[in-house]
Amino acid sequence: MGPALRGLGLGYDRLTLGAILMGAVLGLAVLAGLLSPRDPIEQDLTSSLFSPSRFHPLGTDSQGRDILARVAHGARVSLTVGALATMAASLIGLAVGLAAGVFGGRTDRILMRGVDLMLAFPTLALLLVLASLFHADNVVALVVLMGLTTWMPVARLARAESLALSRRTFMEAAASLGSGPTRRALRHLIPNVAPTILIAATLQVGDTMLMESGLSYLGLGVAAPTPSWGDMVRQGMPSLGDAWWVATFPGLALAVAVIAFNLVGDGLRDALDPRLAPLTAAGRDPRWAADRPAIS
Amino acid sequence: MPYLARRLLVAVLLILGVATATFLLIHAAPGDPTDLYTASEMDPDARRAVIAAYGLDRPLAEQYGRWLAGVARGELGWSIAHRRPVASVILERMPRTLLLTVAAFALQLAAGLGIGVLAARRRGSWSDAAASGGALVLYSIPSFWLGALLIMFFALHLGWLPSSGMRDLIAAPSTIWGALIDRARHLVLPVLCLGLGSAASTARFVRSGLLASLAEGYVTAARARGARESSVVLRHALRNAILPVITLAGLSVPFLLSGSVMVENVFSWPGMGTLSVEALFARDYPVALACQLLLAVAVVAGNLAADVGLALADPRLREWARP
Repeated sequence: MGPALRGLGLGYDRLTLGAILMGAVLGLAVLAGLLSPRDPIEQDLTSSLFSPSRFHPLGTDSQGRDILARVAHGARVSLTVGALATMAASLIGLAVGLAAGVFGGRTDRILMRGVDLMLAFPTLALLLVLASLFHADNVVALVVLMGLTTWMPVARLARAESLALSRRTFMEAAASLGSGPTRRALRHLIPNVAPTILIAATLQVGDTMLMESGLSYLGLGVAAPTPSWGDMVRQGMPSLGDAWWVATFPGLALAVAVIAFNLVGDGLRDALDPRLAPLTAAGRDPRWAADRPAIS
Repeated sequence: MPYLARRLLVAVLLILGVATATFLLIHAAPGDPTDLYTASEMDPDARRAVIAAYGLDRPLAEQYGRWLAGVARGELGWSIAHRRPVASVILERMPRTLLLTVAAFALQLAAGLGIGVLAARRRGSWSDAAASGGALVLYSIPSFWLGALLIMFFALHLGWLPSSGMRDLIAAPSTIWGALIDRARHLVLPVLCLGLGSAASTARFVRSGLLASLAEGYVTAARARGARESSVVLRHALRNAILPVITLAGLSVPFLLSGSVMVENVFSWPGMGTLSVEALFARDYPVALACQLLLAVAVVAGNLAADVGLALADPRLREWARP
């Protein structure tokens, strides 16, 4: 059993493996221009669908563009949208979850019913409709839409954590010393909730990248000619038989990036907060386990 | 059963909320919703007539009431692109999406349970590590790329299975058996593409649940009584480990449905997923939003089914549920 397999399987060294893969993807994004001097957008129909070679290490697409250059530039879009949208979702979720947990009562009920309502829509399908209705074809619009449609798991997590923390002595002490709900949330809850949210957010970056690429595979998402992995896979679909490299490499880059974030999230969880094991035991979405601890 | 009655009430309220949100989405869209129904160069009188025919000149509250009453009767509006009622367009596509998702769901449960149990029983072994690593990879890779790989390998390289569509259009089979086999062959790749990821999640869930319950006292007690190992695992440990899997199964409905949107588009499967994407590009919002509404209803129904299943499977929950 090689170290890679051990890392994938047994939680032995997941954090390290994940960090290495994440560094590779980040390097791809940062060094895009150095890795391939070719233009990722300029078309050259005389070099259409060249197979991988010394000049085009990953081949060219049907418009003669270098796939390595496009994969590297696509990493920027994927990582930017993935990271920013997850940050937006985490902030919204943290605010909603803490408000529900701290104020309780009617505020809690109204906010959590809102969460239930949002969760009733399959996220990707809802995102498709919203992206089409509001013509979200740039990074900023996508980040806003994805932030607004993926904050619910974080909200449930933050609420559950803040409810659990409220029963702890230090919170009672803070309350009896006269801290109001806002001060309690900002000074005492956020520092204690932060590690949990960080883990959930790391795991969610991968999901968000999958969603962004899913949108762009379906022809929504970031507008052409900006290279985006999902769109690149779609362009490779008609020539799967004779130009396998067009769809294979961008998808592989995306898969590696998502695996990296999942490994790091799992590894962080094991390192920082073993209590959260059920959070990811259920798979990629924390909501599968986040607020249902009472069953087992 | 008050517990189930309460869950049912919540489900009904949620569906009402979902319907309201869908209605608001139609009206929150930039541009006048009447633009969808009328061409800009239209004669003003004809335009007013069209608007009046659809009731779009009425106050928003009245439109909402009418729309809700229509939805309750199963009338979902008029498809602009298909030129017939939305309900009839969707009814044609829905069974195909159901076939795909139900088959993927069966794969999720069967493969997830089987692999999860095997991995837990051989904890720490090479096959356990391979199963966990494989699970991580499977639920991390994008479904459309998995679809592309499946097509490249099984359809184009090996030539075993068709790469797209729902039936063979060139050599249409003449017998019922032939048609069934043809349909099954077209199902294999989309179902694998849709179900493998959730199967991987389920396997991980089953594995950790089974490991937790194998450490419980009743398992030691069963072993002490001399029960066979297979009976210890399957009858004593798994029955307790399976409860969270029921919840997981209900909660995987939105993932399967979101996934089916992708998978149907990869494999040109003519279901609701391809329909809703086509509708978005044709700006046929009545169809797109009706699909959205139905997906949400399916999600709520899935959660309700999981609650019912849990109440049936867990005697503790049944006890609490009694007044």
